[in-house]
Amino acid sequence: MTNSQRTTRNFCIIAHIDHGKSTLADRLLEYTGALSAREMEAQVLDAMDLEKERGITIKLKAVRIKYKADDGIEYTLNLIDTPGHVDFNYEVSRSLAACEGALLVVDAAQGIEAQTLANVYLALENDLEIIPVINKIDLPNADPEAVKKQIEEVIGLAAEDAILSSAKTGQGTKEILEAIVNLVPPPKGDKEAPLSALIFDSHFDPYKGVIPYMRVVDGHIEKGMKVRMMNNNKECEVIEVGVCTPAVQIVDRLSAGDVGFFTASIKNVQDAQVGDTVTYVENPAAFPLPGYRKAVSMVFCGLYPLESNDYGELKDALEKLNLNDAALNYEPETSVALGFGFRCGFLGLLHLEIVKERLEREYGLQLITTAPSVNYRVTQTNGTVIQIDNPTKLPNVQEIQYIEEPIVKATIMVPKEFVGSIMELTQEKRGDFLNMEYLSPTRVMLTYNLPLSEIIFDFFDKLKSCTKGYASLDYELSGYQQSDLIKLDIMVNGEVVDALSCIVHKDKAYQRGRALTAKLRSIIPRQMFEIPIQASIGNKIIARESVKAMRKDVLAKCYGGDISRKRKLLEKQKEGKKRMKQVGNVTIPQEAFMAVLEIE
Amino acid sequence: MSYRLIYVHIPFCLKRCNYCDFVSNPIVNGDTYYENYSKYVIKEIALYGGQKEPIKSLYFGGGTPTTLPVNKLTDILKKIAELYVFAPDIEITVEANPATVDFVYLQALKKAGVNRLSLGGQSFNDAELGKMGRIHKAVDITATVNIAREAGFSNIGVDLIYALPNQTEAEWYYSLEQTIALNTEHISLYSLQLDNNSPWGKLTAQGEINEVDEYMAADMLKMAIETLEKAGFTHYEIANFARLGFESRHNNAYWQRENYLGLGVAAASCLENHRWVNTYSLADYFQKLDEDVKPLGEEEYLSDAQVVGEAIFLGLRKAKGINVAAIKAQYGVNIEKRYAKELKELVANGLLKKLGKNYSLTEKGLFLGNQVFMRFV
Repeated sequence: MTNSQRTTRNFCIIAHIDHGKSTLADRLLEYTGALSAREMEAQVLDAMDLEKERGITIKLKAVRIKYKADDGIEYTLNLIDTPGHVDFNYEVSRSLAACEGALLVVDAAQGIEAQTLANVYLALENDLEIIPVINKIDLPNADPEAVKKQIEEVIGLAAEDAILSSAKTGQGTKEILEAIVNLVPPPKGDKEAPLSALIFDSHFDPYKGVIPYMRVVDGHIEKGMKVRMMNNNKECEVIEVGVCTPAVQIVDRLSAGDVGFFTASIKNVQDAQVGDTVTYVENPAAFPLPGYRKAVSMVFCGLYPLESNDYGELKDALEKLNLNDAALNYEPETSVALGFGFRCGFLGLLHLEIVKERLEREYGLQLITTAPSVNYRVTQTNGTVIQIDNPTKLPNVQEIQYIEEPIVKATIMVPKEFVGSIMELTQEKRGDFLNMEYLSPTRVMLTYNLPLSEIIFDFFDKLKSCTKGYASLDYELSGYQQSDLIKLDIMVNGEVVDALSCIVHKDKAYQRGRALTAKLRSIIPRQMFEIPIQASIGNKIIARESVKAMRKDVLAKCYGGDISRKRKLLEKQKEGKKRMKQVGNVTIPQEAFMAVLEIE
Repeated sequence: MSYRLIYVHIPFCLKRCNYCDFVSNPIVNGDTYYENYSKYVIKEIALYGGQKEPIKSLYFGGGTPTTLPVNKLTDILKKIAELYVFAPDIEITVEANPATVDFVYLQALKKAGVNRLSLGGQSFNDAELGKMGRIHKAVDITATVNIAREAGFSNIGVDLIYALPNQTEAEWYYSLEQTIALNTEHISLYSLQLDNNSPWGKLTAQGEINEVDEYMAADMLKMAIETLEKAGFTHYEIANFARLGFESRHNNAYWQRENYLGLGVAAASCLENHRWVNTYSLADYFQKLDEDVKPLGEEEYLSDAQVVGEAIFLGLRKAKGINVAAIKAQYGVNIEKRYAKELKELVANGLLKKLGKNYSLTEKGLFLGNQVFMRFV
């Protein structure tokens, strides 16, 4: 082990959303002088505006901090920031793999949440040294002793030495830094061995291309080296090697134990994927590092431009977004109702919302989003098995032997008085009860199998509202299960609007059909003719509503003082119509396509 | 560029009716604004000077013009006559509330040159009048028409409102019947508007009054059109009916986009592509005129395209519709080229009818007027 390795510590902060990990990261940067207080902008590591707004971290960033410890030695601490949302579990797991230690941050008032638990287990699986930090002890209802007990009982981690901190006031910051130095093991690895570096993040720069962030496990990497991505088989030549302090600092080389980035004019984010291993072409490592997998999309939707002419702009925008977001999948698709668009795959609903908002805000696009759906596995009568991510691709009933839908194992943590509400909710969502465990005399952990399609809409919101916000949720894909699923079609003015079709469980079809048609009737404005709205399964109409024809829309008074105002009203009426989509003869507002989200 | 019409606004009423969001102020005795209003209108007239080209119509509207003592009203008329040339057959209209005029008042108006009366009737049902907050009863409408005839008025119009909350078709028919029986030359019909700042409008916003069903309002209008046409009235504009030769010259000119000068608080003016209104505030009106400054409020300059758009949607309000050649002559635009798609679609959808180079609203188009007009702005 080199001296450099001996004085290096690689760690990350794992916690539930809002438990204060970003503020804590700020404090560490500030305390060590990495940024002067003047330069501090709250939550520095959240680079993008959108993230700042939502108070969440999406992109991982690695920061190298220099800290002179009480023993007089200057240590190099590499802090890797991680996302907290369940959608981004894979990225969390790769950043954990890059570390030897983790600060486990728990809110002193809220205690352990489902997400915390999930990430701790991940960290334990990766053999990380876990340092418990009880944060927000400045809050009036902070109860650090109870939380310590919880940590010990629920996780099985010794917590009597847990550090009490307030990232807001800065209390505990020094203790945390000392604990990192003393408790987190130095990185192992042989700097003489062939290069083997784990990519745990990447970033697209318009001038430098894709910039992979990596943890060098063995060997070293320097300018001029020809390197290869072992899973992807892409080769490139290293132009620069550097670290973030948080400002960018170019260095000569990074060796075993180091964390940093390199540039190689990589054009395509797919060429430098999270979890891949970088090695030296002339002296390659024998095996890639374990744990690599391609990001899997869980939630799909159709994205269409409101104006058909904007298709090209949408395409460009998705390409640009994709540069920084390897988890976003998309491919062109067409809808009879909406024209040309894309079927997009996301890690989850939050990921979908973020992408949609970025497209609308950063690229100024007006979009129609069709209702989110999941990937179904259909075994046809002829034996072939197909995956469908779009309800319109479901084969005819006669050709289907059976359909399987993705199931998740969901972990819900909640105060015990809400157990009844949760059971009601999960039953409604076709949940399968697995287990109930008492985490403490007052907190319960429930485990369920639930169809992914039932939870991708409003499950999280409903969970929060029926538990006064106290419930927390974590889930992971656990497999596919056969279900009685059918396709529900919606016809507007006699024509099936393919973009409104959805796949539902047979038992819910009538209810969904009635709710959808009623909702659409209230959203679709009156037009020159009566508009029948029908829900059908195959040829059978199961629900019917009607939008009456417009009969009177005229302003009687239009004299000298009214003309200006009248003209402006007409202009406004015209603008309003422009924001709707013409589907056949019917003008349908954008919201109609997401109508299914608002019912039930 | 000269004006063809002059409008004078008298922003006072004894009481605001519940459906009204016009610019009007209650009269408080001794209130200097009320006492001196006509003097200030006269000041304003002087600021504009006059013009040589004849005025073809003068209109006193409000509020309730007839809350002013008749001599104050005629003083204004006299000042305008001083500075402007009146066409020999000029139409001079005064809006009147049946509760505010008597024979002497009307006779004085006639003497001063007023030759048209527009009466606010609204309904012949006393219960409805009460709910609307009107200050007169049904009998007053009839009485006023009678004394107006005695005073020599041969051109009288009555306004009616329908689609009142909870109004039945029978009740509406009754008002129509009674109005026709008055034998006036002109009748205007207005569907109740609740989406405004009137007392009822505010109650509607709070959910206290229910908007009248669209289909009911449509039925009422249809029935009214049939009834009035059967009684010999020509339906010459969306809301206006007249016996032959008695169309409102003043309003017709608005729909032809002729230039007009508005005087008084909140009065609107139009000179080619320039539209402006006077200030809505009495205090501001008085103050500006004290400083010998025009009491202007908002204004806008329209683009050529907007002007043509207005010419189309205003012209289509009239039964005779718009003429491609006339618009080409006046604005230099061939609307069959510029609006080829819109005109084609509207005709195909049965909203406009085409007769040679003339386009006009069909019955369906009239009822869905906004849908037609929207295509041209």
